[in-house]
Amino acid sequence: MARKPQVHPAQPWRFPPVDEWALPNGLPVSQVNLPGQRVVTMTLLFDVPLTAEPRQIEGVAALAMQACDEGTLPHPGAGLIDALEGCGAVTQDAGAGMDGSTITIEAPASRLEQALPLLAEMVAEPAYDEADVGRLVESRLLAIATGLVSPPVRASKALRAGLMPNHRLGRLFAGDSDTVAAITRDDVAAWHDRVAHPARARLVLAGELPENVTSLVDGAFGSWNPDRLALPEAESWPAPATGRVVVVDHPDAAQVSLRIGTITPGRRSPDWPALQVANAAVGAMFGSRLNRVLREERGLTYGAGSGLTSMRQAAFFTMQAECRQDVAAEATALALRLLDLDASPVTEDEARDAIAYITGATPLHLATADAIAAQTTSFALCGVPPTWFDEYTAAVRQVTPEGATDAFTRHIQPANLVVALCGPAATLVPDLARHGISTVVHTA
Amino acid sequence: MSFPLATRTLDNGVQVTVSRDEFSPGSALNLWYRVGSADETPGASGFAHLFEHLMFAGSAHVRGDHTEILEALGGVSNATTTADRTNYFETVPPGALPLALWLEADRLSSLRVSGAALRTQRAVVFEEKRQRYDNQPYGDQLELLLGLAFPRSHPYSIPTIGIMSDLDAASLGDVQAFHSAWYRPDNLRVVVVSPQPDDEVFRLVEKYLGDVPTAGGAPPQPAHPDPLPALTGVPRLAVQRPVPRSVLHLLWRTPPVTHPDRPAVAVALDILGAGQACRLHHDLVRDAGLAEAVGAGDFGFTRGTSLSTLTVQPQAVVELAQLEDSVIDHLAQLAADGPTNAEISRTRAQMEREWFGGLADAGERADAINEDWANWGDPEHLNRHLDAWLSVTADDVARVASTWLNPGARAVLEYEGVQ
Repeated sequence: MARKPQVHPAQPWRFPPVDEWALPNGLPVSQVNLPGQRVVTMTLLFDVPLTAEPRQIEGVAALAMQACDEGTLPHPGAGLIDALEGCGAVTQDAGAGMDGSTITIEAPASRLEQALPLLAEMVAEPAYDEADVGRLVESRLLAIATGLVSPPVRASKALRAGLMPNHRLGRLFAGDSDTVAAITRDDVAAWHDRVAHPARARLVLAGELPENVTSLVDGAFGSWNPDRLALPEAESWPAPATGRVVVVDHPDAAQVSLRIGTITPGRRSPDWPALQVANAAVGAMFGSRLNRVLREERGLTYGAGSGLTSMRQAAFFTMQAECRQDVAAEATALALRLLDLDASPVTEDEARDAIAYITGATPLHLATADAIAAQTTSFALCGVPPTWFDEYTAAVRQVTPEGATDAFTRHIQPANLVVALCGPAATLVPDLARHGISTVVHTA
Repeated sequence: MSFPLATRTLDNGVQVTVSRDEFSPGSALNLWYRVGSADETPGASGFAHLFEHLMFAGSAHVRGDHTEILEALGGVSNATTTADRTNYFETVPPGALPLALWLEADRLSSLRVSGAALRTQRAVVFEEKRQRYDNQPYGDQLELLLGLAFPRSHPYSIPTIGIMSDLDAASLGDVQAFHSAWYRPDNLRVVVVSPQPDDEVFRLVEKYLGDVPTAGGAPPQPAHPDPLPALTGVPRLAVQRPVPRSVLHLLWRTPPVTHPDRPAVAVALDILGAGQACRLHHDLVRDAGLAEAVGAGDFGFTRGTSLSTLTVQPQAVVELAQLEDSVIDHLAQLAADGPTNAEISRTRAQMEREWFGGLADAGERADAINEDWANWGDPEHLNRHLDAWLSVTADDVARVASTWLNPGARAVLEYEGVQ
């Protein structure tokens, strides 16, 4: 057996250059040329907060994006999807998040010239045929109904509702059954009229781009000049709820779904790099505390972890695990203890490994056109420039164990966390009580 | 465009292919061992996958978990088991490639698994099955489809995750025996996609994996059942489950991935059931309003027989029988008239995007090279793979629609939602 080799430190990776420019109609463009990436990802985003949706038709923002490939004025009916799929393109994703709505298509680099004008049509001139919108409403209602028989989905929903009970973040981004059922074709068209303006939008392109890409973009989007309506600006968020434990009763669940969460500052905060290092030590890696104890030492779950999802105003911290029924209460108590960094601060080794993981593995996840496009879109939605990434990784390298512990404990305190579990309440509630955890039971 | 590939065989039998990618931020190392759940002995279902978990539990010179060691160096790693093979893979910063190779060499040479690790990983696999299947709406469809298409004695009749009571019997002796039987240099193919020059990568692979002693005797031969005949008599299984909407599956025994008809079967399935421009979506979802969604797919099995499905989820009040009749009519029409030029052109364009999209990431590309190497015996097949799919003709599609996808050769799973 050869001797164990030394590892040569990696050169710092830099985010690929993002070329930012704008069309005369105000449409900003972020393009990233990635040689060798033969499938191009194209995202059109609308910078519009989800809080601007009318309360009684929540889900209209997502639906307005999802219905874009169901037909356009120039390509009515199935003509649009025939043209789109006919040139090798596909709608990869369409929906709405807290900070904006997006639609993403992919096409072979060789077919960019056909695909770009179709994307422009989809966002500028969707037909929103009544039958198509009605079908998508039914489809969304079925997805919601399917979520109701899924313990993991119910637990995630209960966590957000428990954390932000009177805020848009506390409700499903794509709308719930009562609001989606109320959405009409005219609602979708009216929403589109409010938000679909080039000055509120951004086009993100990533992949092996041709030399004439700017003229292709101009040809596709240059004539898009609708009237503009004013939208309300994003409101600041209320403080999250704290210290409650919700049990969603699901008597025949095969496992208990455990979620723990809170709201923390987002990626624009100076605490963000330290929070990420601490989170890596706690839950973002296979070898993090949560997974090591709950899975590798105890065999209570297939996997346990935590993550930070940044939006423009704040981030959503969540811990999740799917646990064996009879040990779910114990797993909950253990997870809460593992999230207590006051009691057990980040060690030197943990901080070193976490920094190596974040700075080393993140570039590996950004090696493809779709990943670069998603990250570039996320920068825009969070309101940070593309140069943010390199500044962030440089800051991560400077995080100390003390700094990581300090940031985490200032924003994530076990006593303040909201806990949601979905499983059989008849056994879960007394099991949790035995671990000193009192609960509120939801049956709906 | 083709990917550069260079192949060598080490003295101990390890086969190595290197593909340079100067743009890749990491080095992707991908190992395929020619053993999967299809090679398990009767009554030991799920063992190949449980074993895969234990490959992370320690070896002669490694304490602690492989994944943890690599992620602390900025790398990512994992492994998967299918019916046909087990793969282990890591993508690491280029400076950590030697260590990744050393770790793989150590667990190929030796496995040190404790009774406690076996018990813990068995419990983890139980939770994996609950998380992926038992606690998911519609989570038992895979098991039902395989049981319907393959006789109980066939190695593809049980999902790779296995039957949990079978795993209870697994012992440390079984673990060591499985390692000795299958985890040997001459049963391993290694692919590296990396920014370094080929010679440097070959030198590193030779230094670490070339150091593993040659195994004695010949490696065991993977189970290779004869191709199964087409289904007859329309086997039908109806189940009721607490889900909000029913699903209808039509399934066929289809040619394995290396069969010359496999690309034509894939094109026929795509024309009927892939994307939103396909016939079933156009007619049943968009025009008639009978279906909520449609789908088509093939399991990609390699040993004798594969399994293809057409799937339709009805609108709220639509009977499954009506949808089944309609799918059969669509198949008959495709067999009689063949596809249009536009349909052939669309499936080609879609296949081009899917193929190159699937190769965009160095790690996924390394896995695709290993897959083509395993299936066709030549890693260079990767650079020819798409040609066979792009040369499928309208006549080919009509022919396979009346043969491999003949309505009389179908089985049917009626997965009825009751609440």
